[in-house]
Amino acid sequence: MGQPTTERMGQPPCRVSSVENVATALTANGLIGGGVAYFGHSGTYIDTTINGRISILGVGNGNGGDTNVTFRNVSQLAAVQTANNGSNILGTTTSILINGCRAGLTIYDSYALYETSIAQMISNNTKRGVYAYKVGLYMSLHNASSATSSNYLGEPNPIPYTLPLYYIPEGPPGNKPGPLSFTPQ
Amino acid sequence: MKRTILVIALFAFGAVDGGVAQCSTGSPSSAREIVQQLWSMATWGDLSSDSGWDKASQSFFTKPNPVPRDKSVAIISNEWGPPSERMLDSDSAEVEVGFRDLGQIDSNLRYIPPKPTDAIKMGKSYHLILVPAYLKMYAADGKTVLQQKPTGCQQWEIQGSLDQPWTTVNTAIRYVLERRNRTQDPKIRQNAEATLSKLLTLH
Repeated sequence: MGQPTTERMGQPPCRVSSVENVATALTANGLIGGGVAYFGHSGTYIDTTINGRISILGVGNGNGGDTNVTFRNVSQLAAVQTANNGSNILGTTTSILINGCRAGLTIYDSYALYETSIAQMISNNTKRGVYAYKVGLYMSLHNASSATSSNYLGEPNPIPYTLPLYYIPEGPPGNKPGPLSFTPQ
Repeated sequence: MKRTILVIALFAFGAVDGGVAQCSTGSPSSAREIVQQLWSMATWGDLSSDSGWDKASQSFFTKPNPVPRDKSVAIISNEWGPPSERMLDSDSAEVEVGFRDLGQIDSNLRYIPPKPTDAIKMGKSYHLILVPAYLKMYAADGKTVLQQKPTGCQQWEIQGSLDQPWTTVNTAIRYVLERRNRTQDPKIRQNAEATLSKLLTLH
């Protein structure tokens, strides 16, 4: 399940399992002046009918279409632009960080019919900056700057249920890639 | 007199086509429900039988097609869907169903694993259109259409043809067991045993 968190003091994270949940989490918590961080699945979806690849935020564990944010329903997030009495409910300096695999990887999206990424689509629809990785992420006992592994294979299996636990990008230790930035187009 | 005979014939052959008329009260009437019915048939194993294939192909698709010669069956996760619907305009819709591809079983009951993929999810999309519904009267063989006439209603149909039989892992286990028990070919029985072992590890 995706876990976008509105960074409001005292507010618990919002659990989201569908595009409708994401839209509600962003629009029903008042003005978000800090930032939004999403923790959850993202990456490529394959539509076997057209043998096409689609960039998605896989917010829900289920198999229903609306458990994913895709080109076909990302416009529901445009509700943030007017949710604050007609203006954007994400503050002017607010950005969205997607902690998920390859949300920033540009692919030929077979629903959009052009090259894009779900991070770019979310930025376009929210009119706010989005940060996202173009590589996979994995659970680690170390943070990105002190990581000793390149990917999940370098971590204990199973990963222990202890804290702190970090969700960090794949890449050589000491040279982990940061998130890419996306601005509205 | 003619009218009486026609009514009797309709009852005798019990032959209203399986599509869902949009103006019939109490019937499922959305594009989503058509796809749900198709996938329910697949889950029950109907698409891997000739009669089930014919029924699904003729009931739900704009271009019904005969049972494929290739007897392989695609295996998907026990959990799929639910289908989600997106109306494109008043008489066309797109329906998506998510699932996990778990491989195939070929005609010799060999298990073929799925191709490796970096995708985190997958699914199938259907384009459906509203078409005029017909009342069809079939001959005793259940296939030959003797007569059809418009009902004045519309029904959703999936554009195109049924592509390949598929079913869920649990039903696939039964499928392999039944075919294994029907054959005396030791090689196929051996394939079936290996396939069953594999299928029992999947969900």
